Amino acid sequence: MDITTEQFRYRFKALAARIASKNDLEALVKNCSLSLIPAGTRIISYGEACSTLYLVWNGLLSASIEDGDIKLVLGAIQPGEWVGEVMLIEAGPATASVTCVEDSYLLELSHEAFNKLRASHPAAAGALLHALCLNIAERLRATSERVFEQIGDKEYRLQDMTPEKKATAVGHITRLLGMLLGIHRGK
Amino acid sequence: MNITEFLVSCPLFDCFSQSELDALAQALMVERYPDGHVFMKEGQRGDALFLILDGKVSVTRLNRHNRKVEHLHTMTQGELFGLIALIDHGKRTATCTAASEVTAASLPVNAFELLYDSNAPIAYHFQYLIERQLAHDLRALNHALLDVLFSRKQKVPSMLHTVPREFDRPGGRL
Repeated sequence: MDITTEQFRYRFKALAARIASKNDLEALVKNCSLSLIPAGTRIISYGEACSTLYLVWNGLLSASIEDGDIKLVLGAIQPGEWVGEVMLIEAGPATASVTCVEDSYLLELSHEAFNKLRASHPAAAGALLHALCLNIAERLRATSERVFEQIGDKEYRLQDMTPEKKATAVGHITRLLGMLLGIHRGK
Repeated sequence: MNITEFLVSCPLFDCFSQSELDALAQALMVERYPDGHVFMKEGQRGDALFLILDGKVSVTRLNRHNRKVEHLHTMTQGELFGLIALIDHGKRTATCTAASEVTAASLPVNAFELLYDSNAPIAYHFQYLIERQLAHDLRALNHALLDVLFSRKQKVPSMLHTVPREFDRPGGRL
């Protein structure tokens, strides 16, 4: 299946709106590959290195965090959204695990493909990074505002809390993590 | 103080060539500011980037619950602040005030945009600095929240109460 720039623009409105040039968008789409990923496949593992940007064409993904026996579901990643941009910018361990909940068509831009794009179409690569960075900056601003106002200098001793208070605190922090990673809850 | 020599010695600008540093030095405006001078105010739109050449700058933020101004960090020589607002034109997340007499080099948004348009390599280097800072900030806040969630720590460090950070420290990121 080939994707046109018009289809890309329609599906990824928020991202495409920040890439004004049609040529830049064309170069970006050409460097992405579309794959059908079966339900149940984990595409990113928390704490492990990954350097691919995944744009959800259709289907549904779920993001979660595990630490020992604890698993927290952060929420869903839906068509028109993306995941993996921080690792595309700077290689490092993944901040969450991401699994396909349904069979999903994903547009993938690997680090190698991105470097090719950077060499052949530096303006397109720059425009993509700029768009991703603006989105990260917005999320950081919104989340840190909440962290400052809701958590601030408060001490959280989850191990000493009653089960009810602990559940509230965990829900609270999980929502902040989802907000930070641009992941929706309850959808 | 020779601004070009200062830029050469500053690790933040390691990736800049000599000609790029010369172009940047020409666009920067070096000034002395009195103790108490407010470089940027929380909630206002950003209009310049600052590099501290000498002196101390205090970073504070108003806690809207108790209406108290909280001190988050003190910046010193070689630190850069106001970087993110140059690209997203967002509101400042903190107030930066001179905590001594300060010598700083400033780059107003319009000079930055001229530089960005006229010198592609400088534009890419700045973009790289900004991208890296954002990625670091996101990871740092993510780890801090996870530390609290998994009871490894009890608090989110106050430095992370203003991210994307209005400030950056050379070679000493979180």
